[in-house]
Amino acid sequence: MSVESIGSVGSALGTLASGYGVGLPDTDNAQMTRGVDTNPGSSTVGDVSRLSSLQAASATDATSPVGDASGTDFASLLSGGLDKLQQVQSTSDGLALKAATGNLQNVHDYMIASNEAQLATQLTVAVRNKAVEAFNEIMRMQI
Amino acid sequence: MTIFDAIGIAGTGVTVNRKWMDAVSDNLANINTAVSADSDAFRARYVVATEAGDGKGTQVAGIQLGSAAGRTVYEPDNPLANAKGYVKYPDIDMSTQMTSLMMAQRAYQANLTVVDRAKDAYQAALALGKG
Repeated sequence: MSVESIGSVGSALGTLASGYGVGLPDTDNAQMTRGVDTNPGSSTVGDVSRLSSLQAASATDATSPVGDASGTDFASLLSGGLDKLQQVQSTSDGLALKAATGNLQNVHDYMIASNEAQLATQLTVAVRNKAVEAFNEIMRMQI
Repeated sequence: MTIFDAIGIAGTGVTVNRKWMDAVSDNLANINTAVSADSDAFRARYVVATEAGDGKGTQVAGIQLGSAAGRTVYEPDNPLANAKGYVKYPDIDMSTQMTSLMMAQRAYQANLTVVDRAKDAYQAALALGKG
């Protein structure tokens, strides 16, 4: 799977979330008003028209962010994180070499660098896992 | 690394205090170094710590040297004594140096504790996503 595809999944998730955020509370309200209303026939017709207009509104809301984000945000975040991880790990490697050759000035420098490398690795792996999890969630979705 | 600032900043503190301990050990090692009264005595080392240039942490700006006058002691038997029988000892107070050593050691440990706690905090934040 390429980084871009994960990124587009991320933006698709955001789009879905915004779609749900717009759609769900309003349909709840519509159901509540239908329950309270004494005249079911006319209110049902009214609700259907309201719902269809809501769906149209949420559909336009949902499509606009896809064009704007175009999946670059998450991809650049992930590749930036990988670059930083590479940088931190090469620093740690250099200090490990110095420790082995006896040129290490400060013991804590190496320990701090290796801790940072460990944390950066954990962070990157966590981000990767979340992205894959989101992708799998989408793939499991019933259509 | 920008996202782990707390660790890097505490690391600069550890470095400065390590150098302070080096200076104290230098002073204590030379506390009995005698020279002829005609020459300069060992000069105590003092670490000058300043705020780091990028505003993150601390750094050693330089080493200041103490007085070269020292204490003049009459020791005619000492082979280093001058014609009048005087030698010079460095003007270093051991209790002051021991106090500095304790402060440097405690500050070193404090900064390492900050590193440890910051690491724990970052790992707790990472564990947030594992649920």
